This record gives sequence, structure tokens and C-alpha cells, in this order.
Amino acid sequence: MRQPALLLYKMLLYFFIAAIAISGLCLLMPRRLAVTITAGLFLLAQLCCFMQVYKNQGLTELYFFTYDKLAVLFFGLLNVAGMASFVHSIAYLDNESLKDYKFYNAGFILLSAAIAGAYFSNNAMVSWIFLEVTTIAAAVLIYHRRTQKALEATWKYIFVCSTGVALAYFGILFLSLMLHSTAEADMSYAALRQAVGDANSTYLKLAFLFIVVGYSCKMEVFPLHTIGIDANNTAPAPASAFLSTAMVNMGFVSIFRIYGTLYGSSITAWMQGVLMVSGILSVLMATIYLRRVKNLKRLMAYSTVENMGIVLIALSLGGAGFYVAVLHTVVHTLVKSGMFLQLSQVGKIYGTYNVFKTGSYARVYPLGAVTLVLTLLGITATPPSGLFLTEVMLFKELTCGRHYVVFILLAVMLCLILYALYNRMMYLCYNPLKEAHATRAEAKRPWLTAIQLLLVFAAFILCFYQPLWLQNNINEIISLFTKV
Amino acid sequence: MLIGMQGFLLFVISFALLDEIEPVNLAFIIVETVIFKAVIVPMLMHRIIRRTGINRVHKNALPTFYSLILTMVALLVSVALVFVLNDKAINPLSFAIALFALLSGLLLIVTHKRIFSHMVGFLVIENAVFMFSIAVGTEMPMLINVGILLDIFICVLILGVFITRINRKMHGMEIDALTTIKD
Repeated sequence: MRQPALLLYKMLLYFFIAAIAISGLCLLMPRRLAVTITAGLFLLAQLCCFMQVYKNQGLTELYFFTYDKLAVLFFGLLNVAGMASFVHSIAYLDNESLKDYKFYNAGFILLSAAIAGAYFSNNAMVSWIFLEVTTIAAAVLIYHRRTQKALEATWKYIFVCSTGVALAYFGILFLSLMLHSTAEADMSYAALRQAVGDANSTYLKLAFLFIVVGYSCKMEVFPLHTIGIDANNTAPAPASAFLSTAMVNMGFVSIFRIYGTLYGSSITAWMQGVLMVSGILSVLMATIYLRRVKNLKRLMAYSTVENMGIVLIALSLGGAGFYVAVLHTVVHTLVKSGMFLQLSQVGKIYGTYNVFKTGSYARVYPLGAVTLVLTLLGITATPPSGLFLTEVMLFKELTCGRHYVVFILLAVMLCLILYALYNRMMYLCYNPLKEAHATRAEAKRPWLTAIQLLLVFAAFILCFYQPLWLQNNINEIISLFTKV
Repeated sequence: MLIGMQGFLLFVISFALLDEIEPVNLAFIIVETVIFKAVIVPMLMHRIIRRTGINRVHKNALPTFYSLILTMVALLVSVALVFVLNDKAINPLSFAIALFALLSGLLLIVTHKRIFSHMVGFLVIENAVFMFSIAVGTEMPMLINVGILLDIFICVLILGVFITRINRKMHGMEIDALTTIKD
């Protein structure tokens, strides 16, 4: 195998140093433009890091980080979601004070780097550390407005995430029991996978349960999904786009790695049951609350809970379900970024996210309305959305596995969700706007809308054509993590 | 005071249960238990109490009688689970204490109305995790230990800062005040 140059070998180390240095620099910059350029430099560094990581796949650096297929795929998506969110943030935060703008960018950079660390970590403990770091970095974005609501959401987010992650630590300690080690424990996923064969099944069950409950706050699935909803509701919309995609993907990757590690052991059927229950309850929660929601950002947050619930159901099925889970997450990242970013424009134009204080969007900003409808098609898994393909595959797997009750339940719940989402979005687009509610014409920025269209078209293309490299990547991820 | 005592007890227990230890690990345990859990965290809590003027920490959402029953059930469940598992690889006493501390930490959060009590519950859970790591006896690399300690320290610090802000902005420490995010 080709040995990379020494400089590249420590790519992630330099990336982390750059992230800390650039976020610090952002806080020192005297002008808004300087902050923007500095934060832009980080995104450039992140892109360079991705290119090097992509070229050197399979490499392990600093002992705890491996450039495996799963990490590389999601790091690529992090780059896409991060850049789109960053560009929208510049326009969205045009009236912010310099201090707030500095803190926002510093928090954004640290969050992005911490998420990358969690993706690349090959060790259960190191993943845990980065998950905890993301809680602190995300808190900066959630508290951005410094209002009473922001304070409440941030407190809840830090408190519940910290408690959840502490529970996950309990689970990881249960996992360490199977190593029977008196010396320093090697908590790498590879070592755990080797030791899983003769492990005590009760410990494994407890470990998996604690970890899934703990990490559910990051993946925004039942039972700790509520704080993610409050966080998305309160953070600035471009930050919500990032939290709902890159951060949620981090939760998925963390659970997927643990699931993959324990897959094939004596508790496989039990794990599948846990994931199935958590998935169904997530979709159920989304179904119940989506009908009542008036706030557009909250609406999308519940949609994230629904989609991640679907991902868990797919994971629980095993086999082709793995493919569905990974592809669904990829498409969801693209389409949810597009939707949240379009809503950031809606929020700027109307000055509110309350759907009943908006209307006539098709007349106010036709290009925005077209984008909104397209992203709506995307998020509701209506053809030609890539999510349509994954959901069809999921229903096929449910039929093959004779999970008829789940099939019917899921179909009914998805119909109700579809109705709720269309109902709200059609109100926004076509309901006559009351004269009392003014709109800001200067908030229409077609070049930003073009970015959203690119994201949603990418999600549409994946319905008809999945590039060979993506198919191979997903298949290799599955084979790597389900080796017994 | 109670949290400080718990921290000091953790040091005594971990020191008593260790068969052999390297100086670096000993230094780390002293930093984590004595300095962090028994001194810094209680000082931080005291500071919060002074700043917020809390005169009564316990304000239950559940009558004390039921809380007591639930605590006893938690104790029984912890002890029963340890007996059922009956594993020689794990120290049964530490395991039972860790499980009970975890459950009582969760109970503290669920049955109390004041967010200060919630923070105490969180700290009890953190101590439970430490106790469980002693019970398991798994030695983690130093780098990971430092990372975990730093993470927890920053979280406690930030939670402390937010408690004082909540008290200032919402004029109270009741969980009922934290219901403004509604649709």
C-alpha cells in the first residue's frame, strides 16, 4: 500500500489544530468581513482535509482515528452541509452584532471539527469524548439569540445531552467487561468485535440499551428526541440545517458502529427489537406532533425525528436494510439541508416562522416557492425524491421479513405525516397573506435559492441513479461493519 | 457538602480497591476525585447557591413518601440485579452502589422541580459512572481519561453558568419556568 507523505499522515491532527486556532482567530477579528473570511478559511481547510482523507482511505492516524468508508462518506456530507449552512449564515445574520457573529462562527467551526472527530474515531471512548464536545459547541449556536427561549433550549440541551451521554458511558463500561483485560483496555471497535463472541449476553444487552438511549439525543430519535426539536426551533435556521444533518448523522454513525460491532453476536435479535421499537416510536411521536405544529422550523425538526426513525427501522431489519439506512441518511442530509435553508429565507422574508402569519409565498417569492415545493416533495418521499426509493426498498424488506403490522403502522403514519407537511406548506405558499403582515423584499436572494435547488436536485438524482462509487462505498460499509 | 463528601468517598474507595497503581494513575485519581469532585465542584455549587439565593434546594414534584418508596425500589433493583448477574469479573459491592447511584440520580432529576436539584442529580450520575468504572476495573489510556475529565468539567461549569443566568432572566429556579418553548 502506498505510504502517504508525513504531512498528510497527520492530516486530522492539523485539521483539529486549525479548527481551534481559526475559531480563536474569529473571536479576535475586528470586522465582520474579517470574521467571514477567517471562517471561510476553515471551510477551505476542511475541504482540503476531505480530499486528503478520501485519497488515503483505510489509513489510521494518531492511533484513535481511521479514514474508513463510513467516516469518509459522512465527512463528505459534512462538507456539503457545512458549506451550504455557512454561506446562508452570512446572509441570515446580516443584522447581528459583531460579537454575536464572532461567537456564532467560532461555535460553528468547533462543532464541525468535533463532528468530524466523532466520524473518524475508531474507538468507542474517543467517539464518546467527541460526542460530548459537540454538546458544548452546539450550545453556542443554540444560545445565539440570548433570549429567554434560547436560554431554556440551551439549558435543556446541555443537561439532557450530558445526562444521556453519561448513560452511554455506562454502556461503554459494560462493553469493556467483555475484554477481560487487566491492563489498559483497547476499546477500539475492532478489538470489541473480536471479543464479542464469548461475551456475557446480559452485559451486551445492557450496554446496547444504555448506548442507544444515550446517543438518541444526538440522532434525534426516541426517547431523547425532544431536546433536538427545541434546539432546532431556537437556533438560527442555517445552524438548524447543520444540526439536523451533520449532527444527526453523527448520532447515526455512533449507533451504527456499536450495532455493527455487536451484530452477529447472541443479542442480534434483541438489538434489532430495540432499534425497531425506538424507530416506530420516533415516527409515532413525529406523527402525533406534526399535526399540531405551527412553527416551520419545529415542523422540520419533527420531520428529522420521523426520518431518523425510518433509518432505525431499516437498521433493525439487517441485510438490505443496512443499504436503505445509509442511503436514506445520505439523501435526507441533502434534502433536509435544502429545506431548512429555504426556510431560513422564509423566516427572513416574513420575520416569523409561525406558518399562520405567512402566506402567498408563491406570489411574494416565486423562485423560493418552487424550491419549497421541490424540497417538500423531497422530504415527504414523493417521487422523484431519493427518499421515495429508500422507503419503497424499506417496505419491500418489511414484506420479505413478514413484518406486516409494522408495514401497516408505518404506512398509516407516513400518510398522516405527508398530510401534515403538505397542509402547512400549502398554507405558506397559497393562503392569502393578511395585509398586516409585511414582507422584506431585500431578503429574497436567488443565488442562495440556487444552492438549495442544487441540494434538492442531488437528492432527486439519487432516486434514478446512484453512482457506482456510492453503491460500492455503501456496500463496503455494510460488509465492514457486519463481519462476524 | 454531600457532593463533596461523595467525591472524597470515591477517592477512599478507589484507593482501597486498587491492588497496584502507577504514580501517574494515582495522581489522576487524586485530581479527579479529591480536587475535582470533592473541592472544585462543591465550591462551584456553593457559589451558585450564594449567587442565586436558593434557600431550599428540595422542592419535590412528588410527595416525599413516594420518593422514598421509589428510592427503596431502586436499591432493591440494584442489589437484585447484582445477585442475578453474579459475575466474578466485577466487584459486586461497587457495582450495586454504582447502579443505585445511577437510579437515584435519575430519580433526583425526575422527582424534583428545581433545576439546581437536577444538577445535583446529574453530578450523582457522574459519580455513579466513576464508581462503575471502579467496579469494572477497566483501565483506560491516560489520554482518554484526561479527555473524559475535561469534558465533564466543562459541562458542569457551563451548567453552573446557565443556572445563574436562568435565575437572573426568569426570576426563579423552578422547572415550570422552563416552558416558554411552545408551539
